[in-house]
Amino acid sequence: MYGDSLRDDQGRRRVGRLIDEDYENRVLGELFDIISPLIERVGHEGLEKITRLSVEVAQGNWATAVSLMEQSPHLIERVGFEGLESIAGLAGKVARSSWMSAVTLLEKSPHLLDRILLYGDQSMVMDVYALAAQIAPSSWATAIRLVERSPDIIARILPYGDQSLVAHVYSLAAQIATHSPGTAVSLLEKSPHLIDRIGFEGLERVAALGGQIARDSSKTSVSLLEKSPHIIDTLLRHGDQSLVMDVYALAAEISTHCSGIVVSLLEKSPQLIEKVGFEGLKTVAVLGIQVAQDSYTTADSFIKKSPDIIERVGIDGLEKMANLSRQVAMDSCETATCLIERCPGLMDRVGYEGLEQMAIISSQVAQDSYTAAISLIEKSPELIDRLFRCGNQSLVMDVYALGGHLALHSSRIAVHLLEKSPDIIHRVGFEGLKNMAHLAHEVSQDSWSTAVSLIEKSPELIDRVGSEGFKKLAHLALQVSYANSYGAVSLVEKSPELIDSLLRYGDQSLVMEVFGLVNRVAQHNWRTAVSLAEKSPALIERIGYEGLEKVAGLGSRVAEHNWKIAVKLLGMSPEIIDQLNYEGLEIIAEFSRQVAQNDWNTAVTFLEKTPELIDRLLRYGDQSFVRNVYNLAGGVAQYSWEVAFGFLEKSPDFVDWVGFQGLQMIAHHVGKLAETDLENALSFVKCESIDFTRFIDTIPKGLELKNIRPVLSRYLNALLGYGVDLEEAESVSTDGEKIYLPKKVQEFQNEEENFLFYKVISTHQEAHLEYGSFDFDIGEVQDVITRIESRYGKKAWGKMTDLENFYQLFPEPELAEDLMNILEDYRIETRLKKEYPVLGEQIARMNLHMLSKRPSLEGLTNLKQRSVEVIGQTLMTGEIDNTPQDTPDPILKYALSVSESLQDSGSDIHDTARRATDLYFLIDKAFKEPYGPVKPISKPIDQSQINQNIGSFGKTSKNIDEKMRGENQRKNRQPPNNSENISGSSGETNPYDHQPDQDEIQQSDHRSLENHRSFESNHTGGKYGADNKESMQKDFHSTNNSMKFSSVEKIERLLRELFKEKGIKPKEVEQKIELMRPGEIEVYLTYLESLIGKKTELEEEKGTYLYPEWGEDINNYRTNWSRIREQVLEGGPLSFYQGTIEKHSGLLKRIRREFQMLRPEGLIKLKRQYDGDEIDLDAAVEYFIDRKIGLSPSEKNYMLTEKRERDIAVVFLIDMSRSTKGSTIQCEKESLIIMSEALSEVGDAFGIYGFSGDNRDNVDFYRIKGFEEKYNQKVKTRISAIEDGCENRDGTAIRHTVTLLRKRDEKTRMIILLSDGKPVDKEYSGTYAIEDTRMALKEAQRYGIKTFCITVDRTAAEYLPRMYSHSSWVVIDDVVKLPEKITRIYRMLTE
Amino acid sequence: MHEPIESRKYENGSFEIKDEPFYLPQGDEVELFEAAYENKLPVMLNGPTGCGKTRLVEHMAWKLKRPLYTVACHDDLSANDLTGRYIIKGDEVEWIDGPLLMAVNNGGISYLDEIVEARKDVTVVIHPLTDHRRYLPVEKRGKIFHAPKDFMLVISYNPNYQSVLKELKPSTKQRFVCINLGWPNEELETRIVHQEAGVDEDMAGRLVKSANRIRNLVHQGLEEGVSTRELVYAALLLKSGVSTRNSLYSTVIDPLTHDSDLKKSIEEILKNYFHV
Repeated sequence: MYGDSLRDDQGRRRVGRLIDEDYENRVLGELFDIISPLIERVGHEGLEKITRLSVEVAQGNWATAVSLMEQSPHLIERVGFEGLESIAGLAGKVARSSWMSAVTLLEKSPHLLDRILLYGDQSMVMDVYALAAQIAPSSWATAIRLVERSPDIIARILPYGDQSLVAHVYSLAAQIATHSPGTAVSLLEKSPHLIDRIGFEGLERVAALGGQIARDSSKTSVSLLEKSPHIIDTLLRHGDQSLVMDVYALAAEISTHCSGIVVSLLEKSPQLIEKVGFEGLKTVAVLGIQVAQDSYTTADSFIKKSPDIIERVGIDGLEKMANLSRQVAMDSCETATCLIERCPGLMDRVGYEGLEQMAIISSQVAQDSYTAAISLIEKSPELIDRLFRCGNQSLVMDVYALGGHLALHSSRIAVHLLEKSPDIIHRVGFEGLKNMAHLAHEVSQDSWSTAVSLIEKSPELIDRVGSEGFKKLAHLALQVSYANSYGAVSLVEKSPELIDSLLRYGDQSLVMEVFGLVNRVAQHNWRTAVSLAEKSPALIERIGYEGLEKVAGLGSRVAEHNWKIAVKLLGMSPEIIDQLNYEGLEIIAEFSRQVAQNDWNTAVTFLEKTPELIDRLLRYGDQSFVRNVYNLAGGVAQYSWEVAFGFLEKSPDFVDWVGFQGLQMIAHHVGKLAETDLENALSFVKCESIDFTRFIDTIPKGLELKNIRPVLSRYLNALLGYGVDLEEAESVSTDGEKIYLPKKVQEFQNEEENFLFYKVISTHQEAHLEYGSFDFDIGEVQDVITRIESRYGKKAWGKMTDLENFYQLFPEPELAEDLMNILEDYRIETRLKKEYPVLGEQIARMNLHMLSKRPSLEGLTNLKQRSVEVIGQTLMTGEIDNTPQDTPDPILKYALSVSESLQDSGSDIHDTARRATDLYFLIDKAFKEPYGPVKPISKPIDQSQINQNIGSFGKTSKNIDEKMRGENQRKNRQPPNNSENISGSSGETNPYDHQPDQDEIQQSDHRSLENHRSFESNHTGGKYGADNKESMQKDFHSTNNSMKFSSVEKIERLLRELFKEKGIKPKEVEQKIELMRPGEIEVYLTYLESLIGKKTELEEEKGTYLYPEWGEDINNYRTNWSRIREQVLEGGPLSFYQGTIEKHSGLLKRIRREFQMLRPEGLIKLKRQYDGDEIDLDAAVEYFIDRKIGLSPSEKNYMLTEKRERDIAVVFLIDMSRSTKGSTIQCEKESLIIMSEALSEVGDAFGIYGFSGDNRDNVDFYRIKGFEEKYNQKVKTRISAIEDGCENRDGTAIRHTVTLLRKRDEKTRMIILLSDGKPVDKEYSGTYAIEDTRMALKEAQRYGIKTFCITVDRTAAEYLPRMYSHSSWVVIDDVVKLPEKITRIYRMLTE
Repeated sequence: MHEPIESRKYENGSFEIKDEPFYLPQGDEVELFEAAYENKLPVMLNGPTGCGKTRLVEHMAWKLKRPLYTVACHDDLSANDLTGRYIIKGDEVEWIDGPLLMAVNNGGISYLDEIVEARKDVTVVIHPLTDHRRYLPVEKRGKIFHAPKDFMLVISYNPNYQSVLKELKPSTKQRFVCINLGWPNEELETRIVHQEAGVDEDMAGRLVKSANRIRNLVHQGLEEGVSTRELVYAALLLKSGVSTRNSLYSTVIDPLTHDSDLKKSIEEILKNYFHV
């Protein structure tokens, strides 16, 4: 053991000496672990050697060194120290690049060695490792691969010889490895195959070739070696080993010139030999070398394709091909390569000549761009195929020749043209293509991209506009491209679509014209032109070609200043034309041009805002109005465009405020202002200056209906004799109950004229109602109908109004309707003029004003239409007497004479219909063309609405008459005693039946007179007053009822009177009568008649009252709208009262005391007192007189001033609606009892009323305690009986209470309303109810009646303030506290 | 008060109507009136203000050749004012007949205009005169005056502005023969205005027509329609050269209402007929 340790120490020392001290700590430990076994195996000397090797290796990498040391015993064991050295050498070299691989190599080495040693000896190992070491510096991976593969390689070589063969092979590899390690390895790997085929000599030759090639390109040589076995196999099929040798020899020869093509040549050699023999191969090789002089790649392709080429054109052809490719390659070897690669296919199609041609083109193209050339060649086969479809080879050749020609100038154009050529030829033939080429050439001189796009789009364009059109377009594009090729391209690209749209509006010539136009514009500005082109279809659609021309001119003009504006303008032009016509566009163009002169940015903004602005303006008027506004702004722009711009922006607002006249004034004003003070003018148009507000105030703003509604509606009511409502609407019309008028009238500058306008148009409608325009009854004009039918044949009547049915009798109902309306307007206006002399003049004036708005006669081409318009306008002037009767127009002449007959005040709508028919015949006879309706002069008479709303007086009376007549006839046939039964039974069934018996009439003679008087006096104001008096009188005095309504006229008169006086519509009467048995009708009519002159039926009923109601929707009162039915509440048991008294006994005591203190208030002078402060003079005088004449005088001769009365009258109004059910009504009742107790203490006059009800004609108003009633048992029982009922219509109840209180003389009058919140009834809720209640409270205030509302609805905050704004109010959150609170409130209110 | 009341004023002669007052009957009211007179029935004239009630009475008084004692009632009019009273003259007292007593004594027509305005005790005094008793009790003198057969009591009553406070009691109303007067019809009224004021018929016609339109506004804000009297006034003013505007405003518009909207509406109606 000692020896061992000593030996170790020595080893350690030696090693330590060798190893750098730095590594000691880290490495030695590991090293020393293996030292002992090493020494054991190799001794100290061996260790020393190993260490030295390791240190060498360690310079590269320590881990490798360590691995080496570890493996060294095994390695030495196998291959000794020399082997180890050579392994270490390799490992060291590998380790420099990859120590991991080195370590792996070392670890694998023992195993590898074992395998090599299986076949050979140590020297073989040395060869392998030496070769590997040689390779390693240039490629360590290859070296490792070599080492790893070697055992296999050796194993496969060995069968062909001995170890020396292996050594030879390795030495061969070693030779090559100097140039190309990869080739060497490939050689080694392939060597077994090669030896197998061609023996070692062959291998040597291949190796030589490989080595040679490797000098140029190791990649090629590797590929050579890789492919060689296969090549040789193939060659061997054509000949023996010597052939292979020859071929390889040839290859070797070639490789001296050009190694690049060798592989391809070898690869193709079998094919070539097969075709042309070895000699041929040689030739090919030579050709290849020649080609390769210019380009290896071309040559490579040449060689590769040579079999194909030879197959087609033989070896000679190949030669030519080689030349050709060389020529091409001079310009572009890539093109040449491509050409060769494609040549077989091309040759198949066009033969060699064609190919040559193509080669020429492509080399020309390639001068510009080889990629284009390549793409041309690549596409050629397909292109040629397509060309063949159009013609034969010569065509193809021609096309290519053309392309070549073109390519001289522009290769791209040529390529594109060629690509499109089949399409083009298909359309326009080769000549066309030629032209196109010419055109494209021309264009391309300025812009090749334009030319390209032209060619691209050419088929589509030619399809649309033909080649001529295409030419024009090309010129246009050229024109544009002068300025901007992009614009041209985009124009061309859009053209097909554009043309498509244009063709919708015309033929090709239109398209041509448009393009011509665009071309002209393009000479000024291409962008404008492009924009114009884009919008041209839209513009033509709107304004036709002429319009487009004008727009183009406009665009050019604007473009002179600023093209951006022009483009913008054109872009918007269709929209603007839609809004304002061409004139508007012109105005806007002019304006924007003006603005653009100063600031194009603003002009752009202006244009952007224009459509919206126009839209807003159009709300206030028509197109001409908007144009006028712009003209105004144009006027302002003369002074300052900024101000004008601001003015325009605000113009809709201005118009809204002050109308067009006002706008004119503003324009005028700011124009002047801008001249002197620009700043001021600017702030003026922005509505910011004080001047502005002042100025605006001075402008008349037109008249709004709402401002004059009360005046106008009363005025109309006065004329008509019954109430019509006025309502805002677009057009003027009436439905019998309402007259519809425009919201605002701005026809004139001043308010009076505008009012007059309102007055005239509304009076016109009133007159329609008054003079029976709606009473047309087709049965009345049977005479006319016969005439019409005899002329135009019979027509079935639809379920329309009589008027509509009447119109339908004519072939042209519109003409009939227009004539009817014109004549009827004339009729009623004549009546109006007769009735109201002064208004008549005003009507004439307004008509003249309206006449200015009628279309001019010159503009009317439709002769019928023109005639109607002439008649309409002439009648509108109302001066038919002044119009010369010898007017040349016979129709007008006749129309005038016809209308004259309508002046008669006895004429009615049926006369109008007769005259209209006459005129219709005349016009229809004179002109044959179909009638184009005129712009309506006033709204056509529409019976349907009236019928729906009111019904027809004439029809209803006729129906009634018919029914009665039927009855009379039946009666006549019946025995007379039956009549009694009829009247008797009707009396039971009909509530209206109040048949006045004869006795009654006779008895109360003076009363009948009274009735008669009132009846008569009431309708003296109407039209049936005086003239019918007698007949009425006779009717009335007649005791025979059946005689009374003996004629339709009489019934109609009654119906009209009913409507006028009582608002009972014929519709309603008819409905009632429909349900009646015929016998009852007369009774009913008598009853109806009795209504007239009396109070209304409702008022007649005792204790009912009618009240108006405020209609929030119509902003007016609805008269006699709701009905109060006052009644005494029936009392109930007293228990509730007693319960309350007991329950609140404490409270009551206190309240009584408090109220007692309230008592004295107010001074009163009591006359004729026994005692007092003053002497009552009247009494004193009487005293003396009495004494004088001997009567005993009175002693009451003093006046006493006394505070006696509180002078308060208060009504407690109790909401008894359903919603109060439960605690609310209980507390209300309790409060009432306590209040009553308290009030009886003070002595204030008070009433208690409750209300509830169901709909507007059933508002129940319960008297619980009237003012005059004492607070007694009865009242107490009534309070106890208060119960919740139905709904609550607060407004009506308040109004009635106000009526009650107005009768009181007290100084303080007050309503205290106890309610639970919102008023609710049928059709009485929400805002409507709140507003009505509010109005009712307001009315109370007006009469000096205080109102106070106590409400228990806690959620009512949102509407209570509005509702009770005319009243004091309080919300009590806890209903239980009501009894206590109410007394306090009362004290507070009255103290 | 200081001026002595001349008894001449109370003489019968001055109550007689010598010239025929212009009156055009609306209907058969004249015949009715005569019939009532003959049958010794009291008459109640019913009709709106200015429709010609007073004129009818005057006309009838003239026609029946009776003196007319007209009393315009007011709310301080007591029974004493109708029957008469003692006045102190120096140291003496003297009885002065009231108009009603005068009518009773002289067999004339007593016309109590707007009777509802008077105090309640008035009705008590007239009641015995209205039925078969036909006497007037004068308490102060402790006497009953029997009316002769040619005495007639006429009252007027305007139902339009009746207030609930001042309504004639049914028991009073029932004692009278009621003659209802309305507005004269258009033609008649035109004639009235034409003759009364002397304006031409066209002018009168236009006034009447406009009045009829305005009367449609009664119950639509207007308490009473334009009276015939006012039309006559307007016509008179027009005739004497007052401007159209002033004539119409001061007669047909301003007296009717204070409501400015309503005035404007009436104005618009008038503007249809007149250049105002």
